[in-house]
Amino acid sequence: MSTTKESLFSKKNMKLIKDPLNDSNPVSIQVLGICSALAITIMLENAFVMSMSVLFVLIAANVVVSSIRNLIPDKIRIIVQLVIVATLVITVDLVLKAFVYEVSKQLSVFVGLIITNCIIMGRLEAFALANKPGPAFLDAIGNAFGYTWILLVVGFIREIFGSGSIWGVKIVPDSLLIENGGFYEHNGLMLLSPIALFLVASIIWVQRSKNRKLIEAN
Amino acid sequence: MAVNKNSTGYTVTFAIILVIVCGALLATLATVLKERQKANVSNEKRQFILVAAGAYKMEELKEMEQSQISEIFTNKITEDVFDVHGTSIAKEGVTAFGIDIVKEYKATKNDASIRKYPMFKFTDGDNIKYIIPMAGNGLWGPIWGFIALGKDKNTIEGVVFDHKSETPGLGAKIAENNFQDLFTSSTKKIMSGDKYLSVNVVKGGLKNPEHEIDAIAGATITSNGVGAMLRSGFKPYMKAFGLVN
Repeated sequence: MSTTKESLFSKKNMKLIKDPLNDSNPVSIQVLGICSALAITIMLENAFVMSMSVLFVLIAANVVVSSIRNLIPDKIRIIVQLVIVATLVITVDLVLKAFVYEVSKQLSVFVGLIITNCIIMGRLEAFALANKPGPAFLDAIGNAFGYTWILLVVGFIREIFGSGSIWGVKIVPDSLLIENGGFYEHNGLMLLSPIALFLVASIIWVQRSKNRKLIEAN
Repeated sequence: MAVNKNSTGYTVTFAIILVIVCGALLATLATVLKERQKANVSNEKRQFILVAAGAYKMEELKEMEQSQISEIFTNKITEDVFDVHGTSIAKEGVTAFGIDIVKEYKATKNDASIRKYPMFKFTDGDNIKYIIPMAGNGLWGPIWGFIALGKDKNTIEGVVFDHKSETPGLGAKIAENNFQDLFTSSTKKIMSGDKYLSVNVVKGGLKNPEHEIDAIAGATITSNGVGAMLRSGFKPYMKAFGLVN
Protein backbone atom coordinates (compact mmCIF):
# COMPACT_ATOMS: atom_id res chain seq x y z
CA MET A 1 0.00 0.00 0.00
CA SER A 2 1.43 3.38 -0.92
CA THR A 3 1.89 5.89 1.86
CA THR A 4 1.66 8.93 -0.40
CA LYS A 5 -1.83 10.26 -0.63
CA GLU A 6 -3.13 9.73 -4.10
CA SER A 7 -6.32 11.08 -5.59
CA LEU A 8 -9.33 8.77 -5.62
CA PHE A 9 -9.62 9.34 -9.34
CA SER A 10 -5.97 8.88 -10.24
CA LYS A 11 -5.08 6.95 -13.37
CA LYS A 12 -4.37 3.81 -11.37
CA ASN A 13 -7.74 4.01 -9.65
CA MET A 14 -9.66 4.68 -12.84
CA LYS A 15 -8.20 1.45 -14.17
CA LEU A 16 -10.16 -0.26 -11.39
CA ILE A 17 -13.35 0.92 -13.02
CA LYS A 18 -12.34 0.45 -16.64
CA ASP A 19 -10.68 -2.95 -16.48
CA PRO A 20 -13.70 -4.95 -15.35
CA LEU A 21 -15.71 -3.55 -18.26
CA ASN A 22 -13.46 -5.31 -20.72
CA ASP A 23 -10.03 -6.76 -19.90
CA SER A 24 -11.04 -8.40 -16.64
CA ASN A 25 -14.80 -8.58 -17.00
CA PRO A 26 -16.22 -10.64 -14.12
CA VAL A 27 -18.61 -12.58 -16.35
CA SER A 28 -16.87 -13.01 -19.68
CA ILE A 29 -13.25 -13.23 -18.53
CA GLN A 30 -13.36 -14.43 -14.94
CA VAL A 31 -16.54 -16.42 -15.60
CA LEU A 32 -18.14 -15.46 -12.30
CA GLY A 33 -21.81 -14.78 -11.67
CA ILE A 34 -22.83 -17.03 -14.54
CA CYS A 35 -25.65 -18.58 -12.53
CA SER A 36 -27.58 -15.34 -12.28
CA ALA A 37 -26.71 -14.44 -15.87
CA LEU A 38 -28.62 -17.57 -16.86
CA ALA A 39 -31.53 -17.24 -14.51
CA ILE A 40 -32.76 -13.69 -14.77
CA THR A 41 -32.02 -12.53 -18.29
CA ILE A 42 -35.31 -13.58 -19.90
CA MET A 43 -36.58 -10.03 -19.54
CA LEU A 44 -34.48 -6.90 -19.84
CA GLU A 45 -36.18 -5.28 -16.88
CA ASN A 46 -35.37 -8.13 -14.49
CA ALA A 47 -31.77 -8.10 -15.67
CA PHE A 48 -31.57 -4.37 -14.99
CA VAL A 49 -33.11 -4.41 -11.51
CA MET A 50 -30.94 -7.39 -10.61
CA SER A 51 -27.86 -5.53 -11.80
CA MET A 52 -28.75 -2.50 -9.70
CA SER A 53 -29.26 -4.67 -6.61
CA VAL A 54 -25.91 -6.31 -7.22
CA LEU A 55 -24.36 -2.86 -7.66
CA PHE A 56 -25.64 -1.77 -4.25
CA VAL A 57 -24.69 -4.95 -2.43
CA LEU A 58 -21.27 -5.13 -4.06
CA ILE A 59 -20.41 -1.51 -3.26
CA ALA A 60 -21.61 -1.76 0.34
CA ALA A 61 -19.94 -5.12 0.95
CA ASN A 62 -16.68 -4.06 -0.64
CA VAL A 63 -16.52 -0.86 1.41
CA VAL A 64 -17.55 -2.51 4.70
CA VAL A 65 -15.14 -5.43 4.33
CA SER A 66 -12.35 -3.13 3.22
CA SER A 67 -12.92 -0.84 6.24
CA ILE A 68 -12.64 -3.68 8.72
CA ARG A 69 -10.09 -5.72 6.74
CA ASN A 70 -7.45 -5.28 9.45
CA LEU A 71 -9.79 -6.60 12.12
CA ILE A 72 -11.07 -9.73 10.36
CA PRO A 73 -9.39 -12.91 11.64
CA ASP A 74 -7.96 -14.86 8.70
CA LYS A 75 -9.39 -18.18 9.80
CA ILE A 76 -13.00 -17.09 9.53
CA ARG A 77 -12.74 -14.45 6.86
CA ILE A 78 -15.01 -16.23 4.34
CA ILE A 79 -17.73 -16.64 6.93
CA VAL A 80 -17.36 -13.02 7.97
CA GLN A 81 -17.74 -11.93 4.35
CA LEU A 82 -20.75 -14.17 3.96
CA VAL A 83 -22.45 -12.75 7.05
CA ILE A 84 -21.87 -9.21 5.83
CA VAL A 85 -23.19 -9.99 2.34
CA ALA A 86 -26.20 -11.84 3.76
CA THR A 87 -27.01 -8.94 6.07
CA LEU A 88 -26.86 -6.50 3.18
CA VAL A 89 -28.98 -8.67 0.92
CA ILE A 90 -31.67 -9.12 3.56
CA THR A 91 -31.58 -5.38 4.17
CA VAL A 92 -32.18 -4.78 0.46
CA ASP A 93 -35.00 -7.30 0.49
CA LEU A 94 -36.71 -5.74 3.53
CA VAL A 95 -36.37 -2.21 2.21
CA LEU A 96 -37.68 -3.16 -1.23
CA LYS A 97 -40.67 -4.91 0.33
CA ALA A 98 -41.52 -1.90 2.48
CA PHE A 99 -40.97 0.93 0.03
CA VAL A 100 -41.16 -0.42 -3.52
CA TYR A 101 -43.40 -3.44 -3.10
CA GLU A 102 -43.97 -3.79 -6.85
CA VAL A 103 -40.28 -4.07 -7.66
CA SER A 104 -39.68 -6.48 -4.82
CA LYS A 105 -42.36 -8.77 -6.22
CA GLN A 106 -40.72 -8.72 -9.63
CA LEU A 107 -37.41 -9.79 -8.19
CA SER A 108 -38.90 -12.32 -5.75
CA VAL A 109 -36.32 -15.05 -5.28
CA PHE A 110 -33.56 -13.30 -7.19
CA VAL A 111 -32.84 -10.84 -4.40
CA GLY A 112 -31.96 -13.69 -2.07
CA LEU A 113 -29.82 -15.21 -4.80
CA ILE A 114 -27.51 -12.20 -4.75
CA ILE A 115 -25.90 -13.88 -1.73
CA THR A 116 -24.74 -16.69 -3.98
CA ASN A 117 -23.42 -14.40 -6.69
CA CYS A 118 -19.79 -15.39 -6.99
CA ILE A 119 -18.78 -11.92 -8.17
CA ILE A 120 -19.49 -10.50 -4.74
CA MET A 121 -17.52 -13.06 -2.78
CA GLY A 122 -14.86 -13.01 -5.48
CA ARG A 123 -14.30 -9.27 -5.25
CA LEU A 124 -14.36 -9.28 -1.44
CA GLU A 125 -11.77 -12.03 -1.31
CA ALA A 126 -9.60 -10.78 -4.15
CA PHE A 127 -9.76 -7.03 -3.66
CA ALA A 128 -11.52 -5.62 -0.60
CA LEU A 129 -9.48 -7.66 1.86
CA ALA A 130 -6.23 -6.13 0.60
CA ASN A 131 -7.18 -2.58 -0.30
CA LYS A 132 -8.46 0.66 1.20
CA PRO A 133 -12.18 1.54 1.07
CA GLY A 134 -11.70 4.14 -1.70
CA PRO A 135 -10.24 1.81 -4.32
CA ALA A 136 -12.57 -0.95 -3.09
CA PHE A 137 -15.50 1.33 -3.83
CA LEU A 138 -14.26 1.94 -7.38
CA ASP A 139 -13.51 -1.73 -7.88
CA ALA A 140 -17.09 -2.53 -6.87
CA ILE A 141 -18.51 -0.02 -9.34
CA GLY A 142 -16.32 -1.32 -12.14
CA ASN A 143 -17.21 -4.94 -11.57
CA ALA A 144 -20.90 -4.28 -11.06
CA PHE A 145 -21.04 -2.44 -14.37
CA GLY A 146 -18.98 -5.13 -16.07
CA TYR A 147 -21.66 -7.55 -14.87
CA THR A 148 -24.46 -5.18 -15.84
CA TRP A 149 -23.58 -4.72 -19.47
CA ILE A 150 -23.26 -8.44 -20.11
CA LEU A 151 -26.62 -9.04 -18.43
CA LEU A 152 -28.28 -6.30 -20.43
CA VAL A 153 -26.93 -7.59 -23.73
CA VAL A 154 -28.02 -11.15 -22.96
CA GLY A 155 -31.37 -9.93 -21.63
CA PHE A 156 -31.95 -7.78 -24.70
CA ILE A 157 -31.29 -10.63 -27.13
CA ARG A 158 -33.34 -13.14 -25.14
CA GLU A 159 -36.30 -10.83 -24.72
CA ILE A 160 -36.54 -9.63 -28.31
CA PHE A 161 -36.20 -13.08 -29.86
CA GLY A 162 -37.94 -15.01 -27.10
CA SER A 163 -40.90 -12.76 -26.36
CA GLY A 164 -40.77 -10.21 -29.16
CA SER A 165 -40.58 -7.30 -26.76
CA ILE A 166 -38.09 -4.89 -25.23
CA TRP A 167 -38.52 -3.86 -21.61
CA GLY A 168 -41.98 -5.41 -21.73
CA VAL A 169 -43.03 -3.28 -24.72
CA LYS A 170 -44.20 -5.35 -27.68
CA ILE A 171 -41.97 -4.94 -30.73
CA VAL A 172 -43.15 -7.85 -32.83
CA PRO A 173 -46.89 -7.36 -33.42
CA ASP A 174 -49.11 -10.32 -32.57
CA SER A 175 -50.56 -10.31 -36.09
CA LEU A 176 -47.24 -11.57 -37.51
CA LEU A 177 -47.36 -14.74 -35.44
CA ILE A 178 -48.11 -18.04 -37.12
CA GLU A 179 -50.99 -18.71 -34.75
CA ASN A 180 -52.62 -15.51 -36.01
CA GLY A 181 -52.00 -16.28 -39.66
CA GLY A 182 -48.58 -14.64 -39.98
CA PHE A 183 -45.17 -16.15 -40.67
CA TYR A 184 -43.22 -15.46 -37.49
CA GLU A 185 -42.77 -17.46 -34.34
CA HIS A 186 -40.98 -16.59 -31.14
CA ASN A 187 -37.92 -18.69 -30.45
CA GLY A 188 -38.83 -20.78 -27.42
CA LEU A 189 -35.20 -21.74 -26.88
CA MET A 190 -34.49 -18.11 -25.96
CA LEU A 191 -36.73 -18.51 -22.90
CA LEU A 192 -34.74 -21.42 -21.53
CA SER A 193 -31.64 -20.93 -19.41
CA PRO A 194 -29.09 -22.82 -21.56
CA ILE A 195 -29.35 -20.25 -24.35
CA ALA A 196 -27.77 -17.70 -22.02
CA LEU A 197 -24.66 -19.89 -21.96
CA PHE A 198 -24.43 -19.74 -25.75
CA LEU A 199 -24.93 -15.99 -25.69
CA VAL A 200 -22.31 -15.44 -23.00
CA ALA A 201 -19.96 -17.71 -24.95
CA SER A 202 -20.59 -15.65 -28.10
CA ILE A 203 -19.80 -12.47 -26.20
CA ILE A 204 -16.55 -14.05 -24.99
CA TRP A 205 -15.73 -15.05 -28.57
CA VAL A 206 -16.34 -11.58 -29.99
CA GLN A 207 -14.49 -9.96 -27.11
CA ARG A 208 -11.40 -12.13 -27.52
CA SER A 209 -11.22 -11.77 -31.25
CA LYS A 210 -11.26 -7.99 -30.83
CA ASN A 211 -8.96 -7.87 -27.83
CA ARG A 212 -5.98 -10.06 -28.80
CA LYS A 213 -4.16 -9.76 -25.49
CA LEU A 214 -6.88 -11.83 -23.83
CA ILE A 215 -5.96 -14.88 -25.87
CA GLU A 216 -3.85 -17.29 -23.84
CA ALA A 217 -0.67 -18.38 -25.56
CA ASN A 218 -0.67 -22.12 -26.03
CA MET B 1 -1.34 -4.47 17.04
CA ALA B 2 -1.29 -5.76 20.55
CA VAL B 3 -4.02 -8.30 19.97
CA ASN B 4 -3.11 -11.53 18.23
CA LYS B 5 -5.54 -11.64 15.32
CA ASN B 6 -5.17 -15.37 14.89
CA SER B 7 -5.79 -16.41 18.47
CA THR B 8 -8.90 -18.43 19.16
CA GLY B 9 -10.10 -15.90 21.71
CA TYR B 10 -9.95 -13.05 19.22
CA THR B 11 -11.62 -15.09 16.48
CA VAL B 12 -14.50 -16.13 18.73
CA THR B 13 -14.95 -12.62 20.10
CA PHE B 14 -14.94 -11.17 16.60
CA ALA B 15 -17.51 -13.69 15.40
CA ILE B 16 -19.79 -13.01 18.36
CA ILE B 17 -19.61 -9.25 17.95
CA LEU B 18 -20.19 -9.46 14.21
CA VAL B 19 -23.23 -11.68 14.60
CA ILE B 20 -24.69 -9.49 17.35
CA VAL B 21 -24.22 -6.34 15.28
CA CYS B 22 -25.69 -7.85 12.11
CA GLY B 23 -28.48 -9.56 14.01
CA ALA B 24 -29.45 -6.42 15.88
CA LEU B 25 -29.39 -4.42 12.66
CA LEU B 26 -31.67 -6.82 10.85
CA ALA B 27 -34.00 -7.30 13.81
CA THR B 28 -34.44 -3.54 14.15
CA LEU B 29 -34.97 -3.09 10.45
CA ALA B 30 -37.49 -5.92 10.27
CA THR B 31 -39.48 -4.56 13.22
CA VAL B 32 -39.45 -1.01 11.93
CA LEU B 33 -40.55 -1.99 8.45
CA LYS B 34 -43.05 -4.68 9.41
CA GLU B 35 -46.13 -2.45 9.54
CA ARG B 36 -45.32 -0.95 6.17
CA GLN B 37 -44.86 -4.38 4.62
CA LYS B 38 -48.13 -5.62 6.10
CA ALA B 39 -49.93 -2.55 4.81
CA ASN B 40 -48.46 -3.20 1.36
CA VAL B 41 -49.72 -6.77 1.37
CA SER B 42 -53.26 -5.78 2.47
CA ASN B 43 -53.27 -2.98 -0.05
CA GLU B 44 -52.30 -5.34 -2.82
CA LYS B 45 -55.09 -7.72 -1.86
CA ARG B 46 -57.63 -4.88 -2.01
CA GLN B 47 -56.26 -3.87 -5.39
CA PHE B 48 -56.59 -7.41 -6.73
CA ILE B 49 -60.18 -7.71 -5.54
CA LEU B 50 -61.20 -4.37 -7.02
CA VAL B 51 -59.46 -5.17 -10.31
CA ALA B 52 -61.08 -8.60 -10.50
CA ALA B 53 -64.45 -6.92 -9.96
CA GLY B 54 -63.68 -4.87 -13.06
CA ALA B 55 -64.28 -1.66 -11.14
CA TYR B 56 -60.80 -0.29 -11.67
CA LYS B 57 -57.72 -0.88 -13.76
CA MET B 58 -54.55 -1.87 -11.92
CA GLU B 59 -52.79 1.23 -13.30
CA GLU B 60 -55.44 3.49 -11.78
CA LEU B 61 -55.20 1.82 -8.40
CA LYS B 62 -51.43 2.07 -8.37
CA GLU B 63 -51.75 5.84 -8.63
CA MET B 64 -54.00 6.00 -5.57
CA GLU B 65 -53.05 6.37 -1.93
CA GLN B 66 -53.48 3.29 0.23
CA SER B 67 -56.07 5.08 2.40
CA GLN B 68 -58.12 5.94 -0.67
CA ILE B 69 -58.18 2.31 -1.84
CA SER B 70 -59.08 1.19 1.65
CA GLU B 71 -62.03 3.60 1.68
CA ILE B 72 -63.36 2.43 -1.70
CA PHE B 73 -62.99 -1.13 -0.50
CA THR B 74 -64.97 -0.53 2.69
CA ASN B 75 -67.76 1.20 0.78
CA LYS B 76 -68.24 -1.28 -2.01
CA ILE B 77 -67.21 -4.68 -0.74
CA THR B 78 -69.06 -6.95 1.66
CA GLU B 79 -67.64 -10.26 2.81
CA ASP B 80 -68.73 -13.75 3.65
CA VAL B 81 -66.98 -16.98 4.56
CA PHE B 82 -68.26 -20.48 3.70
CA ASP B 83 -67.34 -23.98 4.72
CA VAL B 84 -66.97 -26.78 2.19
CA HIS B 85 -70.74 -27.35 2.11
CA GLY B 86 -71.44 -23.73 1.28
CA THR B 87 -72.77 -22.81 4.72
CA SER B 88 -71.83 -19.37 5.91
CA ILE B 89 -69.45 -19.50 8.86
CA ALA B 90 -68.55 -15.82 9.04
CA LYS B 91 -68.45 -14.61 12.62
CA GLU B 92 -66.37 -12.50 14.96
CA GLY B 93 -62.73 -13.22 14.19
CA VAL B 94 -63.42 -15.08 10.93
CA THR B 95 -63.47 -12.49 8.18
CA ALA B 96 -62.95 -13.10 4.50
CA PHE B 97 -60.29 -10.42 4.30
CA GLY B 98 -58.44 -11.88 7.26
CA ILE B 99 -58.02 -15.25 5.55
CA ASP B 100 -54.73 -15.57 3.72
CA ILE B 101 -55.88 -17.82 0.91
CA VAL B 102 -52.45 -19.29 0.23
CA LYS B 103 -51.79 -20.09 3.89
CA GLU B 104 -55.28 -21.53 4.23
CA TYR B 105 -54.69 -23.71 1.17
CA LYS B 106 -51.39 -25.01 2.50
CA ALA B 107 -52.73 -25.62 6.01
CA THR B 108 -55.64 -27.69 4.72
CA LYS B 109 -53.88 -29.34 1.81
CA ASN B 110 -54.68 -32.86 2.95
CA ASP B 111 -58.21 -32.16 4.02
CA ALA B 112 -60.10 -29.67 1.90
CA SER B 113 -63.24 -30.33 3.94
CA ILE B 114 -62.06 -28.18 6.86
CA ARG B 115 -60.94 -25.34 4.61
CA LYS B 116 -62.56 -21.90 4.95
CA TYR B 117 -63.76 -20.37 1.70
CA PRO B 118 -63.87 -16.57 1.73
CA MET B 119 -65.94 -14.54 -0.70
CA PHE B 120 -66.20 -10.84 -1.50
CA LYS B 121 -69.30 -9.21 -2.92
CA PHE B 122 -68.84 -6.04 -4.89
CA THR B 123 -71.88 -3.78 -5.12
CA ASP B 124 -71.98 -0.55 -7.08
CA GLY B 125 -75.60 0.37 -7.75
CA ASP B 126 -76.88 -2.26 -10.15
CA ASN B 127 -73.46 -3.76 -10.75
CA ILE B 128 -72.96 -6.85 -8.57
CA LYS B 129 -69.94 -9.14 -8.70
CA TYR B 130 -69.00 -12.13 -6.58
CA ILE B 131 -65.25 -12.30 -6.15
CA ILE B 132 -63.87 -15.70 -5.29
CA PRO B 133 -60.27 -16.09 -4.15
CA MET B 134 -58.49 -19.38 -4.69
CA ALA B 135 -55.01 -20.85 -4.41
CA GLY B 136 -53.09 -23.76 -5.88
CA ASN B 137 -49.65 -24.98 -6.80
CA GLY B 138 -47.53 -23.77 -9.68
CA LEU B 139 -44.18 -25.15 -10.71
CA TRP B 140 -41.95 -23.46 -8.13
CA GLY B 141 -44.40 -22.28 -5.52
CA PRO B 142 -47.96 -21.25 -4.78
CA ILE B 143 -50.21 -19.53 -7.28
CA TRP B 144 -53.44 -17.74 -6.43
CA GLY B 145 -56.14 -15.72 -8.03
CA PHE B 146 -59.33 -13.74 -7.62
CA ILE B 147 -62.13 -14.65 -9.99
CA ALA B 148 -65.19 -12.43 -10.31
CA LEU B 149 -68.52 -13.96 -11.28
CA GLY B 150 -71.33 -11.82 -12.62
CA LYS B 151 -74.85 -11.35 -11.31
CA ASP B 152 -75.87 -14.84 -12.54
CA LYS B 153 -73.19 -16.28 -10.23
CA ASN B 154 -72.00 -18.34 -13.15
CA THR B 155 -70.29 -16.27 -15.85
CA ILE B 156 -66.69 -15.20 -15.29
CA GLU B 157 -66.41 -11.44 -15.60
CA GLY B 158 -62.91 -10.78 -14.38
CA VAL B 159 -59.80 -12.59 -13.19
CA VAL B 160 -56.55 -11.69 -11.55
CA PHE B 161 -53.83 -14.25 -11.02
CA ASP B 162 -50.58 -13.99 -9.20
CA HIS B 163 -47.75 -16.27 -8.20
CA LYS B 164 -44.81 -16.41 -5.86
CA SER B 165 -41.98 -17.67 -7.99
CA GLU B 166 -43.03 -18.93 -11.41
CA THR B 167 -40.46 -18.62 -14.21
CA PRO B 168 -40.44 -15.12 -15.72
CA GLY B 169 -41.46 -15.26 -19.37
CA LEU B 170 -43.06 -18.69 -18.93
CA GLY B 171 -45.24 -19.56 -15.95
CA ALA B 172 -45.17 -15.98 -14.73
CA LYS B 173 -47.34 -15.10 -17.71
CA ILE B 174 -50.41 -16.16 -15.74
CA ALA B 175 -50.13 -12.76 -14.05
CA GLU B 176 -50.15 -10.93 -17.38
CA ASN B 177 -53.09 -9.49 -19.26
CA ASN B 178 -52.63 -11.68 -22.34
CA PHE B 179 -53.50 -14.75 -20.32
CA GLN B 180 -56.07 -13.21 -18.01
CA ASP B 181 -57.98 -11.65 -20.91
CA LEU B 182 -58.67 -15.16 -22.24
CA PHE B 183 -61.19 -15.55 -19.42
CA THR B 184 -63.25 -12.56 -20.43
CA SER B 185 -62.68 -12.20 -24.19
CA SER B 186 -65.22 -14.97 -24.74
CA THR B 187 -67.88 -16.27 -22.36
CA LYS B 188 -66.59 -18.68 -19.73
CA LYS B 189 -69.06 -20.33 -17.41
CA ILE B 190 -68.75 -22.48 -14.31
CA MET B 191 -72.03 -24.37 -14.66
CA SER B 192 -73.32 -26.11 -17.76
CA GLY B 193 -77.04 -26.39 -16.97
CA ASP B 194 -76.99 -27.97 -13.54
CA LYS B 195 -73.66 -29.72 -14.13
CA TYR B 196 -70.54 -28.38 -12.42
CA LEU B 197 -67.87 -28.21 -15.14
CA SER B 198 -65.85 -25.22 -14.00
CA VAL B 199 -63.05 -24.03 -16.27
CA ASN B 200 -60.04 -26.07 -17.28
CA VAL B 201 -56.73 -25.10 -18.84
CA VAL B 202 -55.96 -27.30 -21.85
CA LYS B 203 -53.38 -27.67 -24.60
CA GLY B 204 -53.96 -28.00 -28.32
CA GLY B 205 -57.24 -26.27 -29.02
CA LEU B 206 -60.48 -25.82 -27.14
CA LYS B 207 -63.12 -28.51 -27.46
CA ASN B 208 -65.57 -26.96 -25.06
CA PRO B 209 -64.91 -23.20 -25.38
CA GLU B 210 -67.24 -22.18 -22.56
CA HIS B 211 -65.29 -24.24 -20.06
CA GLU B 212 -61.74 -24.27 -21.39
CA ILE B 213 -58.78 -21.89 -21.64
CA ASP B 214 -55.67 -22.24 -23.78
CA ALA B 215 -52.57 -23.23 -21.80
CA ILE B 216 -49.36 -21.19 -21.88
CA ALA B 217 -46.75 -22.66 -24.22
CA GLY B 218 -43.68 -23.79 -22.35
CA ALA B 219 -45.37 -23.57 -18.97
CA THR B 220 -47.24 -26.86 -18.74
CA ILE B 221 -46.98 -27.36 -15.00
CA THR B 222 -48.05 -23.83 -14.13
CA SER B 223 -50.95 -24.10 -16.61
CA ASN B 224 -51.99 -27.41 -15.10
CA GLY B 225 -51.78 -25.80 -11.67
CA VAL B 226 -54.14 -23.04 -12.71
CA GLY B 227 -56.46 -25.65 -14.23
CA ALA B 228 -56.49 -27.77 -11.09
CA MET B 229 -57.12 -24.70 -8.95
CA LEU B 230 -60.07 -23.62 -11.09
CA ARG B 231 -61.57 -27.10 -11.41
CA SER B 232 -62.04 -27.57 -7.69
CA GLY B 233 -62.09 -23.99 -6.48
CA PHE B 234 -65.66 -22.99 -7.31
CA LYS B 235 -67.50 -25.97 -5.87
CA PRO B 236 -68.25 -24.76 -2.32
CA TYR B 237 -69.40 -21.40 -3.67
CA MET B 238 -71.75 -23.04 -6.15
CA LYS B 239 -73.20 -24.94 -3.21
CA ALA B 240 -73.56 -21.68 -1.33
CA PHE B 241 -75.30 -20.13 -4.33
CA GLY B 242 -77.63 -23.12 -4.52
CA LEU B 243 -76.50 -24.04 -8.04
CA VAL B 244 -75.05 -27.39 -6.99
CA ASN B 245 -76.37 -29.82 -4.43
